[in-house]
Amino acid sequence: MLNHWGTYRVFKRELWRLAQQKSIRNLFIIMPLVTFSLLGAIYYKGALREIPIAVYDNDNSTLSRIYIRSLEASSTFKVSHYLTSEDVIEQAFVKHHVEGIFYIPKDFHKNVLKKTPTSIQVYTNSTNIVFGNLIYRSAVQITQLVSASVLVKRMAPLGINPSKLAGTILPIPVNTRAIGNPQYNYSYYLIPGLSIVLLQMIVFMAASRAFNNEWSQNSYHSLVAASKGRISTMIFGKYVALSVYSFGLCGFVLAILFPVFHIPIYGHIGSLALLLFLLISANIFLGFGVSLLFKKEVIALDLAIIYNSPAFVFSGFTFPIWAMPWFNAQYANMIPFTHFLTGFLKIYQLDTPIHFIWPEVWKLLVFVGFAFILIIAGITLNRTLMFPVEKKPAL
Amino acid sequence: MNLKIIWQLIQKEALLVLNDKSIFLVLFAAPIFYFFLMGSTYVKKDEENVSVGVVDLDHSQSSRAFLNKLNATQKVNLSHTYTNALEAKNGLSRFDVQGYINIPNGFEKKLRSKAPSPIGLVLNNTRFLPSNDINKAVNLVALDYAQDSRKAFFKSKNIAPELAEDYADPVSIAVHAVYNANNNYGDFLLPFILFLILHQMLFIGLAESAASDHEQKAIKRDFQTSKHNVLNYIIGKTSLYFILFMAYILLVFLVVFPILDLPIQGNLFQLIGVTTLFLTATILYSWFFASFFTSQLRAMEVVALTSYPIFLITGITWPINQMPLFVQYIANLIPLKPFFVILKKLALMGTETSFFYTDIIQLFGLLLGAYLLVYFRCRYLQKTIADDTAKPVPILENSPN
Repeated sequence: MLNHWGTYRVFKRELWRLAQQKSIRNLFIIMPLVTFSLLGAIYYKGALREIPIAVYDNDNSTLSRIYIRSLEASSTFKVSHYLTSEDVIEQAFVKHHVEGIFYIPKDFHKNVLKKTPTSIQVYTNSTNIVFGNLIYRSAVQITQLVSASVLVKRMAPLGINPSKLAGTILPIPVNTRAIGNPQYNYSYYLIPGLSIVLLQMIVFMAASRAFNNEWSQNSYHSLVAASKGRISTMIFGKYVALSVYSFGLCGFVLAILFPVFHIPIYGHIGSLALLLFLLISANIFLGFGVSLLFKKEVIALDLAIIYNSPAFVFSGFTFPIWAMPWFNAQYANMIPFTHFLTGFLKIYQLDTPIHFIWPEVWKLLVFVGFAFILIIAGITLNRTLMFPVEKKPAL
Repeated sequence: MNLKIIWQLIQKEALLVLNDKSIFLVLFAAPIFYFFLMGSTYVKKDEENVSVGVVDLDHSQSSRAFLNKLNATQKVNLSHTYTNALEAKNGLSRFDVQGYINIPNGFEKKLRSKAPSPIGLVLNNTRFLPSNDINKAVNLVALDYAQDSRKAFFKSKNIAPELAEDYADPVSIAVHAVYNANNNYGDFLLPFILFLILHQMLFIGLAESAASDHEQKAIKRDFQTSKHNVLNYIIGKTSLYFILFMAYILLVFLVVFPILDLPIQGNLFQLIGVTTLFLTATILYSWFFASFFTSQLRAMEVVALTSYPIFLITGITWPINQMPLFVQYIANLIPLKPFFVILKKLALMGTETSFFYTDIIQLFGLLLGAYLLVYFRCRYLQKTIADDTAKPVPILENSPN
């Protein structure tokens, strides 16, 4: 009965046609399996712990040893080397493979006792700012703690009301609460974003060959027959078929990849599905637009790759859009993933109600609308291919 | 090795590249486009004025003074004011602000009475960079208050002001970000991204060319032209890419690095030498993998999806020793990994050669491995194609797309 419905005929035909294509097998099965699993494996530890550091204790006193013990007790650091005067500090990073060097100056303890200010020097290998930031944060915490304990001993003999001691040493304690990945887990942070950006690329690349492939394979006439020549039927039939593959891939990411790598899904699954539906739809229709505009598949694919490849960098995930120059910020806004990601983070990490993602929903709908303009432009440009004139036998 | 034959093959490859719009786009337009796009993205290198919300329930002079001090920092911009925490949380959920500060009622009173006067800082941790920057800025301002409070205490005990200052901070800390003085994002990522762009464009371009050879059945003709000599064939096939990408490498080191204010601490000639080694190994590896593609389109689809994993596996953003062993083994088989280590040590850190000997040896090993793979792959292809010798091969001047 469904066979009387043109969209269903096109859908069935497209589903079968895609299943037979090696490209689709590569894009929807082999590449996701390989790349997504690799991404998961890279970040499987999640958080950075026990960063190797070296300590140069030029004082060798009770206080310097207390300080070193505090470093050793921290889960952030692993004191892997103790430098001596013969070591060149600049070379310690490469020689001992450490990411930070703590230098405790000579007369450290003596100066503390003499009430002369003394300073711990910390050198971080900031060729990787992930280490740089972590070392900074923990080093400041530990040093503040040591400094505060010295202060207590310094203030007490001068006479201070015990109830005012804490307020004098640290009058404004900052109670920090991180919401959305409070564990600072890189696996929760990067894998969802990276896997969905790859998913967007895959969907776009597959869609960018939807029509031009029919022309190059001389199969367009059978599409015309299945749709009875209705363009809207062709488009929606193909759209539904590609959506099935795309949601299959989403299912792989959410139902297999995330549980395997212990990535939790916060937020309402319905809101998440709405966002994914819009991202996939926007990319399929944009891909259709490119496919209809460029009859050469290879050029359409080139454009799909060039347009989509920087999507992650421009999404503002790792480097904020507001820090980019105007042109780059505009480019970022012209990629659906940028807006999807904002909505995705709201739902997935912050667990916000659905009304918070309406701005992103609207923006994604604008992409769908723009895609239809591209589709109309493509149909107009290649109307001779879209509406082939049947050759009639000469009289 | 026959230079005349190699020259013939280079000419043939040049014609292919010029006539194939897709390969031309990948080799000539895409690298320049991406250099501009990526280079300009990180041109400011770091973020400033991160939006932060305020819930000031104290409305006192002290709370305003604290907020003014915070707003004066480079990183923080107190852009939104909220009347209560719920409103602020909604602002954070809308991503209007990346965090908010909650100053409770009685803040000034507690501060004056020398009791700890805590403030709340709620961070949107879905993106680490802004969250870290806000946290750092707020804590630094709070620390300034601590210094002033301690100083005031010692002064109140009749200690001279200059001594009071010394007493207030018995053990301080000075953190020096070595090799990236401002600990900024641009200097951390850009040098490697520029080479990743080259790596991927080379890979895609060569993959497309090799696949095109398969599609156009040109591989058999090229083997015949090369007199079935692997060295003739491979040098002839890849020299164009070597020359082109050497030009890009020189462009990166001599033009792009200075424009983006990226450092080259070590010896430039040494750096170019190592990069040449890396380029040769990459070309051979790329051709080897590319030779398995029989369709240009499939080659592009597959290679395009490798950019992110290849970059992440090199250990530039996430330490390689934190990855599972099998991933570490894979990483060590990619020339980009030892090259990035050398680039980091030589260009950014300016270390002596002795500290990256092993990485150079690894690159040499990979080059040798790549040559052997290419050699056996060529021999295999020659053998399989030899079965087809009975069929005449049309002599084509070029291979249109």
